[in-house]
Amino acid sequence: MPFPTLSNMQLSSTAGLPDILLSIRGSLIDPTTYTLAVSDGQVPAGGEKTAHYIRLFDSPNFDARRQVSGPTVATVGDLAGRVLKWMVGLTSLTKDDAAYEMIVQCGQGTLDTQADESGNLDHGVEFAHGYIRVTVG
Amino acid sequence: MGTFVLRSASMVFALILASTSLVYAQDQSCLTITSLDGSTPAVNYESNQLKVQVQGRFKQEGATGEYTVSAGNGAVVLSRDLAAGSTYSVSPAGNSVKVCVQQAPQPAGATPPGPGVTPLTATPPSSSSSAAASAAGGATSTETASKEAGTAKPKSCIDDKINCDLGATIESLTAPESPAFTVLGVAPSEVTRPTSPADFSTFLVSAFDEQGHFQSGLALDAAPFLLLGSKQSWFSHYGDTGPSNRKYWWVRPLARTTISFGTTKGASDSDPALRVAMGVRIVLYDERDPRLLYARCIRLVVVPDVNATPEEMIKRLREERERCKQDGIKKAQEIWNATSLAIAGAPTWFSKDGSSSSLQLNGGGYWASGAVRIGTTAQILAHFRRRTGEEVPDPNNPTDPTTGQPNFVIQSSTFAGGSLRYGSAVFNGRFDGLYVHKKVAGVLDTYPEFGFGLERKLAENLYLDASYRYAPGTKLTSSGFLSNLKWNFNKVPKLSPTGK
Repeated sequence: MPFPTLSNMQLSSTAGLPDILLSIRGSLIDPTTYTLAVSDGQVPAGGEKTAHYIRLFDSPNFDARRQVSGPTVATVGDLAGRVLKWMVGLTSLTKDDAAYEMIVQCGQGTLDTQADESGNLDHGVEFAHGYIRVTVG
Repeated sequence: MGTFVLRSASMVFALILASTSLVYAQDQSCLTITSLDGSTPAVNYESNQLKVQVQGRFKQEGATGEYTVSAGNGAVVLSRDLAAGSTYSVSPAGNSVKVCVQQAPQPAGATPPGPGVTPLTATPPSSSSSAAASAAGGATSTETASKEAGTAKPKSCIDDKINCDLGATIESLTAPESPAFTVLGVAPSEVTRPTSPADFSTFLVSAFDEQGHFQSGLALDAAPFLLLGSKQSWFSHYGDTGPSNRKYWWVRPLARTTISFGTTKGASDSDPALRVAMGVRIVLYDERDPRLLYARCIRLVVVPDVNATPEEMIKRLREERERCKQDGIKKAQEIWNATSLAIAGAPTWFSKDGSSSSLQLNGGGYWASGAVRIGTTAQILAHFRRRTGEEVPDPNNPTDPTTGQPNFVIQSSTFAGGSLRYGSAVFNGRFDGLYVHKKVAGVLDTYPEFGFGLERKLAENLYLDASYRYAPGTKLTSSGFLSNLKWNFNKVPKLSPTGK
């Protein structure tokens, strides 16, 4: 199980809210809706897994850019010191060990790759998730 | 124990000897039909007539003079009448079938053959006599006739414009799963279905002999894009809906594109000729696609609690996967009138000397089949089929008078047919139309066929149906209409599109 991943993202305070894009590669993979959440406050380094998260949005559209925003995130400054958590379920109707690749990109303008992992489903399912620590400068 | 087995075996052997001597004590004649294209000859018995039907090229041995050869259902049919009290046995083996008949002795002044035909052994064939007596099973067995053995395949309106089943004819125009096998007229028993690129490469290597010629008897059926595209990102868009589907609309047709490939040898063992067909089938849309139904269900699964542990999420995913599987199966069964669209094509090549370098294009087959769902009760179906360079039995001279071998002529044909089907708990109905345009040995024949069937449930286990079919040559007046109108009472619905 390759996930979870942890990556860092530096945002510019003058460039606006970032976008996020999730891609799945796999011929026999059927992904579920992906979900983006954000920690409800600043999280000290290493505390990502124990932080409490608030849902920002769910989206059925993979390979589509979507702006990271929500009730607690209105400006880029709201993301300073917080952690983004992305989640997606991967399933296969027919193959229990189907191979897949997950690519997660996030950023302002040009999207930097934050996660790029591959693996195989375990008994037909996998729960892919990861954390993106944000600093705003 | 050993003694018992030995005694039992001796008794069986003695019985076989006894029955054999009984068989040969009477006048038994046998006919063996061997398909040279890998198809399976079928035998059926109906109305005191024994028929052997074979698709494509074949070899005949034995009592050929006792059979009448004709063309039917796109195949050669050898038939003979059996007198009352006659018996016959069928022994299928691979692509051949041996039929032996013992005609009952007919004394002077005997009445015409009655309906009774005594079986050779006590085992009657199943009601689907054609399948039961076909050589498809491979294992040699002896099948016998009975009065129930009269469920012949419905006649096609393409071969017999007067006495035929219009609905079955229109359904037979559906784009085939493996068009290459259809145009070659074969039903190969062993088909290579590669599940990895390595399997595909192995097939390609084994397809040629040392001289670089195609081997005969090859059969391949594969979904190449599903096979080769495992690392392509667009495959995960199979179940997309909405704006994303507008961008990736081509994923499903590509994933459901299949190719078929087949080769058959010449008419005889010494004939080096080779026929090759390469077919493509593309399903552009299929409402009952189980993978699509599953994908659309699983995509609605949302992470319920973003703070749940991964273990909890995996457990939920497993439950949702199972639920969506069952939902997909259920929905696919419920939608009897699904919307769908499929196209298929298979050109054929012919090489007189069997070499791949001398292969020449030799006609082919092309299909388009569509269906549109109307609510939960009706469906419109439309089919189109074009065949060129098809070898069919000569309708005027089915056999060569000097050699006794079957005569074949070239047929080009275009068929377009459609149906409107309606089904509900108390009322079923269908309207069918077919247009036939065929040129057999240069002689053009075009005609329309149409008909309808209506059925009303009167009470539990009681249905009244009425049907009409216009046959070419009959009058479209009220008297012509009434003469072709048929009605029946039935215990079960005959026109229900769901078969229930």
